[in-house]
Amino acid sequence: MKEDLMDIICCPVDKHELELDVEERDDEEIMEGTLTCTECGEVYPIEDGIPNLLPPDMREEAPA
Amino acid sequence: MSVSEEFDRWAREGRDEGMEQRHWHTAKHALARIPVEAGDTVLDLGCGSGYAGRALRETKDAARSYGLDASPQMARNAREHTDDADSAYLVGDFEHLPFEADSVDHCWSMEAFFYARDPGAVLDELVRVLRPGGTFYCAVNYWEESVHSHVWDERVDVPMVRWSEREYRERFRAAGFRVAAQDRIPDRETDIPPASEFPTDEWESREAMVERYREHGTLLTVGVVP
Ligand SMILES: C[S@@+](CC[C@H](N)C(=O)[O-])C[C@H]1O[C@@H](n2cnc3c(N)ncnc32)[C@H](O)[C@@H]1O
Ligand SMILES: [Zn+2]
Repeated sequence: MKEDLMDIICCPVDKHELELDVEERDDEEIMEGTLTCTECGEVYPIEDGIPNLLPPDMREEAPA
Repeated sequence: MSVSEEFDRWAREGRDEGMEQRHWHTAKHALARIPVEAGDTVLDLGCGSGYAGRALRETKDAARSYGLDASPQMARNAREHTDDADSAYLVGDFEHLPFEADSVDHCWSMEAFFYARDPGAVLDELVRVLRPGGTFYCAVNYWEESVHSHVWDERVDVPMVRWSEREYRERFRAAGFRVAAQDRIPDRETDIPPASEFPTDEWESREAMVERYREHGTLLTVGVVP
């Protein structure tokens, strides 16, 4: 994802702002990282450049 | 089965590209009508292979297109189809949109809306995230008047919502949309064999197949946020 996505995304549950933590960048894109809700504290993963913003109860646990 | 699991399986089997090919017959006509201006932000709900967002970037100069899908594998496949960082994909649920209020100009959805467990929630969410004057172009091949489509719900392992044309209009209005248009877009491209080849595995009669594709086609309902 590009960082400008931060302008419009929010927590899917309570619609509060998300805080970006970048673990890996590739040119203009964030490949790995997390998005943490500043309200409820839920952590949403960014994997292979794709943010997963499913509500926690719909997100499957990643296979070990 | 959850929608994420069911459609992850479809995506692993490569069925997203088959859907794109079949849906493009009518989707291209509907996409051409969306009043996207250069610089707009567009959203595709249940994006599958992600073709619609890419088309709106290429043909209408949308500044950014976001495809949202509940299936992580669909989103990964969609991302692989493009190098354009402004055609982006997210994993998410269209009943819980991860977008701020008034952040999107136009929204498209093809053959996905009826998978909602609570379709009213999807419409409420869209009224929230679309800017005033923003539109929702909702295209479906499965609805009450399209009688030959009714058998599909048996083939998919998740529940499907079957509204009538009037219900689409009423529910859009109840959520706060104005209904700007509703029509059926015929599919003139799906090949229909000569009468001598019927019945086929899929179709009892040629008349039924003609009715399904050439007359019913795709139902497009267009909502505008006041
Ligand atoms: C039949 S496919 C259509 C894909 C694409 N729009 C097309 O025209 O080919 C339906 C898609 O909707 C997605 N979907 C179903 N329920 C969803 C939900 N609650 N939130 C987001 N996407 C969903 C599925 O994962 C699947 O990719
Ligand atoms: Zn939150």
